[in-house]
Amino acid sequence: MLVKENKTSKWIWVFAVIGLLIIVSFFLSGFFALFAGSTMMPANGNVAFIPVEGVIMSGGTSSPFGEQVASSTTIVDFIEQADRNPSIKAILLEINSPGGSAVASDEIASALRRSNKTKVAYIRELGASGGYFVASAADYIFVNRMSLTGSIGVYASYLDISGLLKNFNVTYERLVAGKYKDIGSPYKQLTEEERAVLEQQLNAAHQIFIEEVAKNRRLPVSAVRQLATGEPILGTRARELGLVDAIGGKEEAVKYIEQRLNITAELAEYRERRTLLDVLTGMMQDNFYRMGLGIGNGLQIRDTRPMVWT
Amino acid sequence: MLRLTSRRSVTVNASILKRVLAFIIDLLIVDIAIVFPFQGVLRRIVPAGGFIETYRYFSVQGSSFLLYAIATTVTVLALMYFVLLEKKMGQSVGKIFFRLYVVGTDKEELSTWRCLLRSIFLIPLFPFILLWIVDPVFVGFSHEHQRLTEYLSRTKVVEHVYW
Repeated sequence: MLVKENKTSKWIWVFAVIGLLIIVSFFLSGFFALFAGSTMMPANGNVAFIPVEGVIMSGGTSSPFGEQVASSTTIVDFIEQADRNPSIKAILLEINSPGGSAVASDEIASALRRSNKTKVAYIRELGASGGYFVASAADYIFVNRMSLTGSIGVYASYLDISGLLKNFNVTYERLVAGKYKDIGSPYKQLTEEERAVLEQQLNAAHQIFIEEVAKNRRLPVSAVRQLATGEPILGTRARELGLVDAIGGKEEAVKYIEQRLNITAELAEYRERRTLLDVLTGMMQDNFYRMGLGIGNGLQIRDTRPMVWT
Repeated sequence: MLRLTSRRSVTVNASILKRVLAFIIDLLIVDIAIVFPFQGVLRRIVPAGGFIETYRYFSVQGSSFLLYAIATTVTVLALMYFVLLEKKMGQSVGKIFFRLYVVGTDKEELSTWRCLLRSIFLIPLFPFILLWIVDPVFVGFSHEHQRLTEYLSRTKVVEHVYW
């Protein structure tokens, strides 16, 4: 009888210890998962599949209720991760972007050029402006017949609300040290001199864009300059002009990689994984940021130099 | 009055085969109860593939802080499994199946420290990983079939032989 009780209490103790360890393990794995949100390693694969979807920006992530953002910080990180991974033989970019920040686009294109892997891009709906800038850094570009691409140009347009303020009898007290310090402020009209300064900068950025595309696509700068009117170009026309290499989508891009590297391609998707905590904190950060921005705008005259967009 | 001979037993050093089988059972339990819950997180930070590919990946990339944190946690929990059970009962689950017991060579009660010391080979860091080779080799030279860490912690594994 005593032996039986001892045996029972022994097994109770065993199950208690194992049960405790299971509970602690699950709890801690959940805790660690909170920190593994965006560092998801893809499953098996030898081709890094990296989507570039939405407006290209240097930072930030997509809000679940807002516009899609392709963060250059994240995408560059993915490209570098793929480049360091010896299992990865090629990088496949899926581009669906109207462009965005010139700096962010350049960051992604530069990271792609630095990579030693075979780089292939395919453009879905849109691979325009900054989206095309990124695609041009790939070794080979596929485009759908009806995709819009090209749009090689830069802009820094903004709303001038000085007239509106005047209607409400609000005046802009200009206090600057440095005559161009408040260049591009929406509270005052742009002078001819300021317009010339901004246009000069835009032309310089435009020139860089043209030269980069020409270098990446091995086209004469003069030929790219002729196309660089900012006009969106249909996929078929882009193929004729040499802005892309072939008509096709994901399937064709994968086949191209397989033939070029003589491998059976297995895609390893590099996509930002967001945990529930990320979504919730992102929403809070977004709301607090907007609230702060609103208050800040109301209280101070901001340095609102226009941003250069591609 | 006729008196039947009572069941007699003698305590001997545990057979090596039973110890190995018991350890395999314990490893399975540790894998299911402790390592398995971390699989989801590990898949996020460790590239899938063979050992060589993973080794090459971390040689180039370096291990992340998260990976170290998980490895430390798993090690601590695995140590807890052995220490809690062996301290309380002198047996882990594998040892229960094969009726093996951990006892002190000095007949003293097992302290937490001694239980911990005999299991430090579980720590996957240098110099402890050397014990993965040294410990089994030491068994071959030990009169009482002790591993090095058992010798140091003044413990050994025994079994009761009945007749």
